[in-house]
Amino acid sequence: MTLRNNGLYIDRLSMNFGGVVVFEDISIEAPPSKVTACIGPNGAGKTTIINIVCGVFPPRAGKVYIDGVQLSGVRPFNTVRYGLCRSFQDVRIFPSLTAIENVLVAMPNHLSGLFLPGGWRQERANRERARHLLQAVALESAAERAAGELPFGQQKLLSLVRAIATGARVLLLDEPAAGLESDLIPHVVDLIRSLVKAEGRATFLVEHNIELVRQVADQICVLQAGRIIASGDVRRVLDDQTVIREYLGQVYNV
Amino acid sequence: MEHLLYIGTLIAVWTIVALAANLVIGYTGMMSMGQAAYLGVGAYVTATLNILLGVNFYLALLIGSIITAVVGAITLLPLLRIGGFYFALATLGINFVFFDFFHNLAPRVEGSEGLYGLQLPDLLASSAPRFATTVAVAIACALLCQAIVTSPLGRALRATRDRPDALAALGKDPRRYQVLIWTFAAGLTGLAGGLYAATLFYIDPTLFTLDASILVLVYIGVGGLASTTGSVLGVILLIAFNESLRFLGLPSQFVGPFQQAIYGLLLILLMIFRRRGLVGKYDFTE
Repeated sequence: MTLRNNGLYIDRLSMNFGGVVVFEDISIEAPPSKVTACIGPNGAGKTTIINIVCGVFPPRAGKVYIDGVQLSGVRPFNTVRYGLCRSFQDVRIFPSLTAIENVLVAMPNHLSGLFLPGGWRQERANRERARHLLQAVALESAAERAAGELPFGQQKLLSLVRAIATGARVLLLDEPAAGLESDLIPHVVDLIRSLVKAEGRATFLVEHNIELVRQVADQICVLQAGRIIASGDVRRVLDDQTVIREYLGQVYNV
Repeated sequence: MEHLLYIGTLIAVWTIVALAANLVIGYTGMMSMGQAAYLGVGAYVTATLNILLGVNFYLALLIGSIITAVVGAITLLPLLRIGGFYFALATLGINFVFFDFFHNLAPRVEGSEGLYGLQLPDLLASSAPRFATTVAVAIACALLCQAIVTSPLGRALRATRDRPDALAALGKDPRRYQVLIWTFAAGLTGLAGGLYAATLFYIDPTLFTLDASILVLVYIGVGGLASTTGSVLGVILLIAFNESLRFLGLPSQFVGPFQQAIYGLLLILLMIFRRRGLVGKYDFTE
């Protein structure tokens, strides 16, 4: 297999927790400007892939590349330095910060903002961009409210915007639609289409909501019992009889 | 009048200590129960340099603050490996270790059981200018703290307090902010320690016991966490209240225990009825 040059490339990853094999020898490619979705039943190891990429724990075997460079030394607190940012399945916003502060805190440059004029210019530019990002998910009216007081759905949108605000080239989104009211789903779709694809980010999306996947994903891989049973173009895979039988069957009637 | 100036000076000194503690506890969410240790380091280093080595007081004060900041950073580093309740307990330990350290210097270093004879410059030598100088320093510290907490750095500190793991996932190492603010606060507390020595003329280890650390917690708790105004207000109100107890005419042996009981009661009432203190913006029990 050739070494891909762009985006996120997961090369023959294997993982087990003790004697339990999570997945064996899986390869996934998430190129820039594309959304690569990963679906599969609970416990298939989807979040584990994100955790491995972010350095929460090491894989048993396999490598991860970003823009053709093999990752090493990634720890959860320095992922952004490697151009990576993840979102969490449970919302981890900063409750006592306002919505806009939640976004601002993710942006580069903190210490110089204290005394240097350049820092304050940067801060004004950041504020401008943060407002723009909040607008994209219809949160501009909540910008000055404490994030902890926002309803769950808005907190979830805020956490996605925050991940984008880091400027990471590769986004790993862990079930962005989970627990969202159906009327908020279009915001997630818009956000991913306009801010993720348009700005050339490589996006790895773990999601159960097949409708969302159908709307935003370009390609997809289906993880089942530790192996990838299907991958490729999203429409082709979702209509694949094997995939429907193995995974979608229960929830997805054709 | 002389006494009022003395009380005013004490208020200014404790205001600096409270501001520093508020940065650490109120804004960054690191429960420090040993701030008196750093007050002691600042006081002892400043006084020792000035009295025993004849160093100019201002220079001694500066060196005292810097050394306290360094000591603060060194004592924090091992503590970063533990969290929550155990962290608080370990800071308590720091207080005890430093108290014992000051105490045990006694047979070896002249004056550790009671250090006096500071060579004070004009601005600190008599009560009126000393009051003006310490108040000016306290105001400068308050403005500096306010500048920090309203800046992007202050935002990152509050994020560190709220969810350090989420901050880490956004590419900002929360430990960096913890070390930075802890070191800065220790330096500020060290500065207050030097001024404290100049105010009292005399220092001994018993000034820097757990009682003093708890007192700081009461000040910022009553005033309200995560608020510069709250810290200043807490110190002024409680020290003024404390002084007003004199007029009750209690026998002198009851005054100390009575004050402790009042403070204890205040803390309990605060936790039941007003967890955010008078003007606080953060409740650490949330």
